[in-house]
Amino acid sequence: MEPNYKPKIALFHCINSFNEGLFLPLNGRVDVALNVIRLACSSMIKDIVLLKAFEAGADAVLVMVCPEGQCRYVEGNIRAKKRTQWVKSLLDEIGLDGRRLSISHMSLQDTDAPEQIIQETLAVLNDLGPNPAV
Amino acid sequence: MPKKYHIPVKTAPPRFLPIGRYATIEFREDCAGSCRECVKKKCIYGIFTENYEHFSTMDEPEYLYNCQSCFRCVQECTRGIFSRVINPDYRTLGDDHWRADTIRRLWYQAHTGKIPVSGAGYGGPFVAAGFDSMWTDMSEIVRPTRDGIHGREYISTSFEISRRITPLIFNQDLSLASQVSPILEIPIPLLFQMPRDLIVNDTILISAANAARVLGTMMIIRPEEYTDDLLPFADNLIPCLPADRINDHVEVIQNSRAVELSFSDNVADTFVDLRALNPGIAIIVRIPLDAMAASRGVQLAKTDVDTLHYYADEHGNELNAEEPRFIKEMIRDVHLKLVENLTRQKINLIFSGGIAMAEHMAKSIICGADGVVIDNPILIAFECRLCFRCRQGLSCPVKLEDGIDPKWGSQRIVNLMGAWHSQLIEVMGAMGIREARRLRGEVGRSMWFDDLEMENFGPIFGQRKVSGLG
Amino acid sequence: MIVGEQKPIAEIKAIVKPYKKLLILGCGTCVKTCFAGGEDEVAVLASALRLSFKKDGKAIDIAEYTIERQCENEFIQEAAKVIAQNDSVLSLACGAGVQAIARRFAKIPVLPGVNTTFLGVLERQGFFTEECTGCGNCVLGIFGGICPITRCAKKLLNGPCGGSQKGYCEIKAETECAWHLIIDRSKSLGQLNNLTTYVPPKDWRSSNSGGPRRLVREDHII
Repeated sequence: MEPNYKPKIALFHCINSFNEGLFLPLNGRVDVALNVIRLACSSMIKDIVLLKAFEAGADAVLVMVCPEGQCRYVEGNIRAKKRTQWVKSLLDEIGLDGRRLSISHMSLQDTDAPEQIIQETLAVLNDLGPNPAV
Repeated sequence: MPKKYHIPVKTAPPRFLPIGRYATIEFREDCAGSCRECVKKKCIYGIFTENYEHFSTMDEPEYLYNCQSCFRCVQECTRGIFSRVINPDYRTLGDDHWRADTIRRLWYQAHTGKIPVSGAGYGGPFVAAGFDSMWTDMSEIVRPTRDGIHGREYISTSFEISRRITPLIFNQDLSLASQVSPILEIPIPLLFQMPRDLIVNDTILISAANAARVLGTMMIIRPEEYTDDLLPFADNLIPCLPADRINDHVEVIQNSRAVELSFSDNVADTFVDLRALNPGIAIIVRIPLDAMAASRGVQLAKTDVDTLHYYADEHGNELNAEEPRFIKEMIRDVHLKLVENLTRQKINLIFSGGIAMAEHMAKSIICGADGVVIDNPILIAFECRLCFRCRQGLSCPVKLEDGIDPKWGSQRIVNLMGAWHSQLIEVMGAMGIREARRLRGEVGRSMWFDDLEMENFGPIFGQRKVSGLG
Repeated sequence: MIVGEQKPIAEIKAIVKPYKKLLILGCGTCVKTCFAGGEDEVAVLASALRLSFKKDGKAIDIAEYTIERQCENEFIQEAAKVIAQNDSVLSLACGAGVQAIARRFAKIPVLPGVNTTFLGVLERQGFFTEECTGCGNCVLGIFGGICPITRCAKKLLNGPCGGSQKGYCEIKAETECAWHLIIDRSKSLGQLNNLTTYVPPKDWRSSNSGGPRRLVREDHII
């Protein structure tokens, strides 16, 4: 991997699954370029928007949604999960590797989880390298 | 009758996707977007089609929040898949005074030049702090014909920067004996100045100066902002000069219709020199809106000054105070002090700081101002989001640091002011007032929450309810 | 409605490979409802193709457009301008749509992006079943509104086979036995007698087996 490589990660998250205050430290990171897209509900995740993130040069895309059964709109996070899985299979099909896209259920109390997920993603990216379609 | 004041508004679309307020979300899966009653096809604003087009063309992933919140899709979808949501980014826009809603509407006005309409009624509280605890009384029965205010009826919105001579003295033959200096009249009761600590560059200055020329108003300009590119707009500029060094700026003084000096105890001493250089020049003194504001005004009103410009902070609060009063109370204070001292009618008062909406202009005038000076709305017209990233040395989300097209920028301000002017005459029309100068200090046409509360609830609840907003 | 399914991306890539400027043209009626060719699918396919070609280092310009129906001229007309700007069209309509477009634009290759699967019914969100083969000689009246030609794997016309088990087909366990349904429904309609009439072997001349069919309505032609 190039020494100056700074991974670009697009992070879609439902505002109900995430405490903005706890999340802020992530914004000032130097090891990763984060593009945060806040959603009023994770049901707004659409296949096309996830793909567009990759087209815009993201090396990985993270989706963070509410825990199962706790969606304010009942089905929003289930929809998000299904769509994310569909796009993962699409990514595999076009050779971009579905591991670049992941979805996680976040609970508001678990303040360490975002950092942990980003670390895991960085580890995956270490393995996969930059987005080959840039 | 003078030629009617007309503002040439023309649609000037934004360069960037504005941060909208609402979107609809489809929270259920039960839709393929092509049923018989599909509300996506019926949306009269074409939001869903626009969304598809946007998804195809966007660079970075983003969502369109430009729903007009009519609820038609929510109500009529046979599968009930929709809900309306507020943009999470919209919630973080602006602050307590420069509210998201205010910014969004300013963008709309700069885009279209039209009066913003709230759609499904006003959904907010009826009273809040600041200007929102003051209501204009538009119940005047003898209002002029409504179709007339934009048509045949003429409502003047002019105000003056030059001082008035009272009383006039006449000779035996009834010819005028008083020396009357030129009258500097501005057709709309507002002036411009650049906001402090936000992005200002040549293209922004030229846009604002050109808009001032188109509107017939003037822009107060600080020495550090002045460049030779602004020379063609000299007629519409009010240079802000240091009082102790006016001899360094002789040419500027001779070419200007008005100048502004910062307040100092002996500022009045320079007036004679200024008038010697340019007898017709209007002199504005810039005074901080603090505890001393009114007394300084009274003192200066006895001199040869034309206009006093009081500046509050960015949120319209009193300066240097532990418990700052809001600008509307401060205007009352200064205005009434001058009235008591019988000097109010001789000079003009203009106020700046926190003037964010057309109604703030009208309300300031009702409180006793002759006009206002606007700053932040000029940048908001250029899509500024008041995110203040520039103050931390970060990049501007709407790329103002790269400059703007002055033609576009100027049109955006003209549009914004066109909308403000329409709102002002709308308010005055409904009050039956035909002259902005008649509106000055006309508190009878306003209702104040604190007064009403005290009057109505005070007798019942006593002191508990006389505390005002809290 | 006509039910279709998008082709695998690898296949689509192979089809569109020779072209530099490609228009992906969606159809907003049948294939939209079965998630094969509406605006959403057009956008997703375009994005996936762009990513895939970019990864391979091939430059291709992909445009997107969707019309209400690709099988009628008046709708096709809306797309004429954008079609003319490209050197190929990948149609996400059914086979009829693809050909209707191809016919209108003599010099532009029109390629299929969807496998037209069957004439079917939307049972529930995301689930479609085949109901009609288009045999050209409908016998639903005898069979209580359930088609043994389409829905019976063996196309039996005079009663069920011996393989039906608890109402399900022996060939595909998830398929309901058409004859089980026919008998149940005839019973409830009180028309079980209908099934005592012998049905002769089907005359397949009216079906597609006799070559492409035409329909002429003289009374509507001047």
